Amino acid sequence: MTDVIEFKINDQVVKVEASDGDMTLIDYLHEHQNLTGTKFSCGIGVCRSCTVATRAPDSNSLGTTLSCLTRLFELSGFNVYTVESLGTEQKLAALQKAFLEHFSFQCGYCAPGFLMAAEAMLDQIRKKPITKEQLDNLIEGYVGSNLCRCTGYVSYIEAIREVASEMIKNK
Amino acid sequence: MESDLNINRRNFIKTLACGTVVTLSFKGLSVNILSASENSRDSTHPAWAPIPGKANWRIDGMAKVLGKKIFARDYRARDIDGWPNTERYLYPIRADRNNQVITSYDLSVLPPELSPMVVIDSEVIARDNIDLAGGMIKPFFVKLGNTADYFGQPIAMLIFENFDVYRKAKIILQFNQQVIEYGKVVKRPDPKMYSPSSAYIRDDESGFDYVNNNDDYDNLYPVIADNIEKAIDESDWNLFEREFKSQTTDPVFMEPESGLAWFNKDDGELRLVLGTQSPAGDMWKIADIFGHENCSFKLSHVDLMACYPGGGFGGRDDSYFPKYLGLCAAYADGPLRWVHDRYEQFQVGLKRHETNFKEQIALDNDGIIKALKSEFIMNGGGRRNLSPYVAQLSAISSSNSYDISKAISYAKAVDTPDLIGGSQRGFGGPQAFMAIETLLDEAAIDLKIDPFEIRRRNLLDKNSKTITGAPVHQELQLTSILDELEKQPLWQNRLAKQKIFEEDGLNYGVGLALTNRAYGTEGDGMYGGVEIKKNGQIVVHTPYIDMGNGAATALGLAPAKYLGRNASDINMGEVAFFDQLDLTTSYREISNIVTRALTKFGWADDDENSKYVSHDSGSSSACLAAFHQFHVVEQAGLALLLQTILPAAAKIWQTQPDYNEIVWRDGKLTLKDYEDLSWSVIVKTIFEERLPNIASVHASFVSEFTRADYKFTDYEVNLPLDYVAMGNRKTDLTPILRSNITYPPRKADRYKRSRFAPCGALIAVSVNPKTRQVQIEHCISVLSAGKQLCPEIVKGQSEGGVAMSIGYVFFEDCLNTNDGPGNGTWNLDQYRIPGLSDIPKKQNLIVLEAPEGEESARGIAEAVLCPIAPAILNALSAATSGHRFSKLPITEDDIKEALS
Ligand code: FES
Ligand code: FES
Repeated sequence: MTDVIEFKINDQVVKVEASDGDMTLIDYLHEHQNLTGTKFSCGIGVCRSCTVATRAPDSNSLGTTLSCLTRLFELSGFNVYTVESLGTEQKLAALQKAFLEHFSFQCGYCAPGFLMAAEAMLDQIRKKPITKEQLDNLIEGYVGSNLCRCTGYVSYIEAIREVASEMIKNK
Repeated sequence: MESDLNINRRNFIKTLACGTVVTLSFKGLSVNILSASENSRDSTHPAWAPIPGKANWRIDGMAKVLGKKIFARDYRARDIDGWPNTERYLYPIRADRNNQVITSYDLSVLPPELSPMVVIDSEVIARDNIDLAGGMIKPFFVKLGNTADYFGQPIAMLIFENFDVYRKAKIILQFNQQVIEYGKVVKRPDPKMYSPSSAYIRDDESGFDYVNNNDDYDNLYPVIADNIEKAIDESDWNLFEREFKSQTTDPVFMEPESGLAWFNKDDGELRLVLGTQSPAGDMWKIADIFGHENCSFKLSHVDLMACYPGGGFGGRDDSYFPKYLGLCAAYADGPLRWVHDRYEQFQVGLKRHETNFKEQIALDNDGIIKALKSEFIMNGGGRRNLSPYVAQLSAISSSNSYDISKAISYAKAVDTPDLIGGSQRGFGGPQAFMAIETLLDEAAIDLKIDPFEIRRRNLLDKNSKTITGAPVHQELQLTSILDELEKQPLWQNRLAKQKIFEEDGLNYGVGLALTNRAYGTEGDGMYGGVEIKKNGQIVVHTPYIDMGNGAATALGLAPAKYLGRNASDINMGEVAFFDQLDLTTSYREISNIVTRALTKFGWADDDENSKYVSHDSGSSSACLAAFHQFHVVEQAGLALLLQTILPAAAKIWQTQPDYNEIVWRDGKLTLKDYEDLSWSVIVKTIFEERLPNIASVHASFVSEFTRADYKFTDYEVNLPLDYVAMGNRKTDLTPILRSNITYPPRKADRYKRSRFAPCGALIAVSVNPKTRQVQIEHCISVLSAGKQLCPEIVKGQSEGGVAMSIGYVFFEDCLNTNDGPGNGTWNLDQYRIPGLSDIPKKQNLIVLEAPEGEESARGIAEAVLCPIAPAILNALSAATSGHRFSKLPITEDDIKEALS
C-alpha cells in the first residue's frame, strides 16, 4: 500500500496522505482545497447536493459521484470535476447559462449538484448520441433523484432539456 | 413572518443588564460580481437586467451558478479579512430523549488525542455568570439531575482544536449511547401557554368586533362568544364540523445551519458570520448573554456578517443556533466554526407546529355561511419564539375569503418538551385554510350546491370586513379566480376523465380550494436606499435578507421606474446603513399636541420629533418583499430623481423640468423640445455639481402608508414615506424637510392584517386502489399577484409551493416521541421530501392582470402554497367517494381505509 493517494481535482494533481484516506471527498474539497461550491446537505447519499462529476482512471467518460459518501482512498487515479471547473462569468458553460435564463433555482444551494449531474449527462450524450425521445428518461436518470426544496424542479428540467436538445440537434 | 421585535436605533447601542454599553453592527453580503459583462448594453445597464424593470436572470444568480462563496457554510476564518487563519470546531452533546433524567455525561469514549480543548456545560456557564439570551426562558444546558426541556437541548458543547480532530471525534460521539447516562423516567409536564393567545370575534348582529370595540373587547368577548355559540346550537342551520390534526414538519432548507464566530478577548468584539432571517434580533439577543455584571467575558461590540441563507422558509427566523454559537465563541481562543449536519438540523431546527384544530361552520340552505367557530392549538415545543404569532395568524385566517357575520376564532401555542415550533412558510395559514376549505367542500356536496357557487355566495368584497372587523381595502379578485378556475377543462371534464381513469382501474378526483393569505404584518416599517456610483452603476441598500424567494432580484428592479435602469448590485442585510439615520419609534409628546391621533390633521415636524417614525423594521419574511420592501427602494429612486437627476438635467437643459413630463427612453432622460440626456452625461453632472447621490428612506405601513409633504430643493411633493435623507456620504445624510404628516387611522392598529394575495387551485389526483398510491396528475393555480415584478420568480415560487404542499399532505412527519428526529438519528432517508417523481407532470399558473389602478405587487411567496393542501384533500375526497381526510400526513393505511 502506498502512503500517498494521488488524483486530480479539476485537472490539477492533488496528493493526500493515505492516513487521511477515510476523509470524505466533500470534506477534502472544503477544508483542504477551499473549493466550497460543492454543497453538503444530508451527508448520506440521498439529496445529491454534493454531486461532482468524475472520470475513472480507465474511462474517458464522466460519471457522477456523491462527494459526501466517497472516501479519498477510493479516488486514486480519478479526475474529479466540481462546479468551479465549469464556466466563468465571462464564459459560462451552456448549462450554467440555461439555469440562469430559466430561473431554475431559488436559494441556489442545490444548483451545483444539478449542474454536475447534468454535465455528466451531456458528456454521455456527446459520447453516445441519443434520440430526442430518449432524452427525458436520460434526464430523469441523471438528475431525477437530486433534491431541491425551493423549486418544483420544473425549471431545472426545462433548462437541462434545452441544452441537451441543442446538443442532440447538432450531432 | 413577523416578529415582536422592534429593531430600532436604541437596539444598536445596547445597554446590557450590568449597565455596560455595547455597540452592534451589521453587514450583508453584496452580490457585486455582476458588473462586467459582454451582454450589457452599456456599462450601467447590468447584465442580469439590461432592460429597465425586467430581469434576464436573478441578480444573485451568477454567484450561485459559479459556486461562489455566498452561504454561511462556505466561509472559513481564512476567508474573512482581519480574522486569524485557523478556527476551532464546535460540537454539542444533546439530549436524545425528553422523558428521562440526565444523570451524567462521559467523554471517556474519546481517546486523548481527540479530547476537546474546552467543555462548556451548565456548571461552566454558571461559574462564568452567563445570562440567558434575550427572549429565552429556559436554560442553555440541561443541568445534570434534570430532564431536558426539549428534544436536543445541549448537555455540553465541546470545542475541538481543528477540523480533523472534530471530524474524528464526531464519528465516535454521534449516536453513541454511552455518552449520556439517563436515570428515571419522568411524567410529561402539563403544557403551559406561550403568551399571548389570540381570540377574535365578529358579530354583526350586535356590531361587535375586535377593531371597533377597543375599550370593552376583553369584557364583552365571553358574552358575545356565548351568544354566537347559542345561535349555532339553537338554529336550524346546517352544521359542518370536524377535528383536524396536522403534523410537525421540518422546513428542510438544504443548507443546514452553519456559522462562524470570533470573540476577540483583546477588544471584546464578537464577530459572527451567519445565514439568518433575523440578523438584528439575533445580535440583540446574543448581547444579553454577556450582560451580567460579573460575567467572565467583557463584550464591547457585536458584528454580524449575514450571508445568503441556503433556504429559509421561516426556519431561520429567531433560531437558537446563533445564540449558542455566540455563547460558545466566548470559550474559544480564536474563531469558532459550527456546522450542523442534517441529523442535528432535524433534531433542533425550527419546525412547523403540530396543530390540533377544530372548526364548525353553519350554513343556511342557500349555502350562506351564517357562523364560524374555530380553535387552533399549536405545539410550540420547548423554546419560545414566534409560535404565538403563528397561532394568531391561523385565527385571523380562519374565515379565509368569506364574509361571515358571526365568527369566533381562538388560537394559542403551548410550551411542551417537544420539537421546537416556529415560523414556517404559510405561517399558520395552511392549518386555517385546510379547515375551512375542506368543510366548505363538504357543505357544497351535502347541500347540493356547486362548489364554485357556494364560495361565490360568501365572498369578501370591498364592502365587507374580515374576522377582526377590518375593512377590505383591496380588489381581491376572488370572483375572477373562481371564474378562471371554473372554466378550466380540468374542472369541466372531470367526470369524463374519471371514467377514463376507472377503465384503467384507477380512482380520480378533482378538488378546488380558494385561499386569502395575508402579506405583511399588523404594522410594518421598512427602509430602502439607492446609491448612484460615480461609474454610473446603481446600488440598492436594504436591511432585508433574500432567502431564495427572489427578493434581491425584485429589489434590484425597483430603481427602474424613476431612474430608468436596474441596480447593478444590492447590499442586503444592511442594518447599519439605516441605523445611522437615528430614527426612533418613541414619540415625544409636546405641548398642545397630546396624542399621535391628532396628527392625522397634519403638522410640520417639531425638532424633538423630526426623527419619529411609527413602525420600525422587523425580521425578513418572504411576504414582505414584493410590496413593502420594493416600495421603499422605488421611493428612494424617486427621491434621487427629484433631488439629483432633475437638478442635473435642469443644469444642462437650462430649464427646470416638470417631473411629470420627463420620460426615460432607451436609457436616456427625455423632455419634449430638449435634447435627450444620456445617463453618463447626467451622472457626470451629478458629481460635478456635488448633488446628492445617495437616498435613504423609511416608510411605515398599517393598512396604508404614512404620508408627508417633502420639500426638495426644486420640488415639493407628498410622498408615501415618513422619512427621507440624502447626501454624498452614507454616514452623513441630510433629512429632506417633511411636513403635514398623515398617519393611517388609529383604528388600523387593530386590523391585524389588511393586505391579501388570494390564490385558488384545482388539483387532480389519481388513486390506485391496489397499491394505494396517490399521484397528483395536474395542478392549476390562479393567483392575484397585483403587478408582477418578475413573472419567472412568481412561477418558481408557485411550483415550489406545490412541491412543498405535496410533502406536507403525504409524507413529511416529524414524530414528537423518542423515536422521532428529536433523538438525533433522522435524516432524509427517514424523512422524505418531494422529488421530481412526486410532482405533477402538468402544472399551470395563471396570474390575473392587476386590478385597475393597482401599481404595486402583492407578497405571494406564501400565498401560492396555501390552496394546494386543501385542494389535494378535496380531490382525494372526490376520488374516494366522499371520504374526508382530517389528519396529516395521509398514509397508505388512510387511503386503504378510505377505499374500504
Ligand atoms: S450531501 Fe446529500 S447526497 Fe451527499
Ligand atoms: S434552489 Fe433552494 S434547494 Fe434548490
